[in-house]
Amino acid sequence: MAQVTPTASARQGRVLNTQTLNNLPWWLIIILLVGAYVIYSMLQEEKYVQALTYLLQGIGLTVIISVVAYAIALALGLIAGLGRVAKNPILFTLATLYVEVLRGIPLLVVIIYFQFVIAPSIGFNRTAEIAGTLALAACYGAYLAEVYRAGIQSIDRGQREAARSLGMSHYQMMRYIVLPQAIRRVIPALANDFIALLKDSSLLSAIAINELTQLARIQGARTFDFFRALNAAAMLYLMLTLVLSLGVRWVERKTSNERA
Amino acid sequence: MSRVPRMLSMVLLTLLLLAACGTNQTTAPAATNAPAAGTTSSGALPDLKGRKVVIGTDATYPPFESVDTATNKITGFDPDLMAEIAKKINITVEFQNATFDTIFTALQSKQYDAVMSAATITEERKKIVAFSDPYIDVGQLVVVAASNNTIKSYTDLPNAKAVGVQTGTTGETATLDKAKVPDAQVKRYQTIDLAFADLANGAIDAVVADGPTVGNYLAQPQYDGKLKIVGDAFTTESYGIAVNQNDTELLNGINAALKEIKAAGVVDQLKAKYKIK
Repeated sequence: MAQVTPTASARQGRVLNTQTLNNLPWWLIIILLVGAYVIYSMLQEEKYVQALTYLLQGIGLTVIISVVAYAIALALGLIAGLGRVAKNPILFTLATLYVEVLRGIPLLVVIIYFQFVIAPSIGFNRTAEIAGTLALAACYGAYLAEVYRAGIQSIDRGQREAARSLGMSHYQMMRYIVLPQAIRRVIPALANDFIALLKDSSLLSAIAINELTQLARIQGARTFDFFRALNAAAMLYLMLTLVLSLGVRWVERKTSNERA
Repeated sequence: MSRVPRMLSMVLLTLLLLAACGTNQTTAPAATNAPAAGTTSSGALPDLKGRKVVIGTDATYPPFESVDTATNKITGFDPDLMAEIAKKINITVEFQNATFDTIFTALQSKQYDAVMSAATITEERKKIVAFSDPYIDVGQLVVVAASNNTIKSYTDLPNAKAVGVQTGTTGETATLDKAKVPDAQVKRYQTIDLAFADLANGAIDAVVADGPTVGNYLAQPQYDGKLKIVGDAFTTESYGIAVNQNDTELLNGINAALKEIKAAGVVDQLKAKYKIK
């Protein structure tokens, strides 16, 4: 690679320049520039500072609920996803019932149902936060189950046959051959659903949980200034999702490198 | 290689969006020719010539407004009173269901011509909308579970773990400012019916809401014997009909009609009809 003629290296340099220009994440640069301007002008105005300070109290709860709900959903989804590809008819039926029922009901309805029907009927009603987190987890478990299923079914049949011919049991085949490849393939889709879950956590405002959206509504109602309250909330959500979206890109790059 | 022009168009789009955001403040002046009707002859009522008036209301607040289970129409004290006003000043009214926390902002942005939603006249609200003369006086009441013996009046509320109120109501401000409940212990619901449901389920310790509505919810069969009122009303407030600040035509009309209606004892008849003390 060292022995290139001067002309060739010059041409390569030019190609490299346009390539780096094309590879720059322009969307991010634009968002950062516009975002910096918006944040700067917000901080100049006392009403915005007041709204932002109030809304910041809700960010912690939004993040905690999202992380906990997503962790539960990952586990639930894996179990249900395995059930969806299981040969055992009972497991398959149970998993399919779970996925079809929860995927078919709007998230908002499930959240209200958990808080006002399920929680009181099992005497577990002190904290709406737990009911809300479980509702999110249950729904996203169903969404993620389908992601896992798609991943598992995308693994070539030959892999399974090879594993079986090596004398592996069904469990060994899944654990060491199919799942590691399947999960690596669906990591970007799984991570995407985390962003979706974080945004959907705003629905928890319906059961009076003091997360970001609820605080924005409270702030708007008491100042009659929904313009600033919702702008502030939108900006905080964007900051959260942008960080996550960068994380997803990083994970995507890392997993695709490993596969190559 | 077509990436740069694409980026440029994105930048332009963003700028356009920002520009659109900047111009939304220009509102056309309302076409009211404010005849100041009530002043010329005190007896005569203004005639609004069948003007259509859209009224925003949060119909989860019986006995003032609720959706009738049989007809799916918004019924209650407020629609009844408004029908009387409409007859007197010749307007056509249409009640629209709304969420209370955004109701005054929606009125300000002209989604409605008026708000009649068991709304207390407050100085804060007067900054963005205009209120008619008061038509009924109420007070905030504290409700707890029938088995609760620790909360005996509104002064005990700061000891409660969670007090349910409706977002944007005077119940919320009274709980925070008068009962001095710390912000973290106040649970805000978008509608008061969910607060009562949570109270009956034991998820919260108390609910603060307007007296007549509390009385109405406690009389519902599903809450019968489960909830109780503690202490007396700890605020005095008056409901008014809110209209846009520059809509003097409607405001003068409503005030003139209210004056006659109150004099004729119709408000008292309605109070008796809806069992409001």
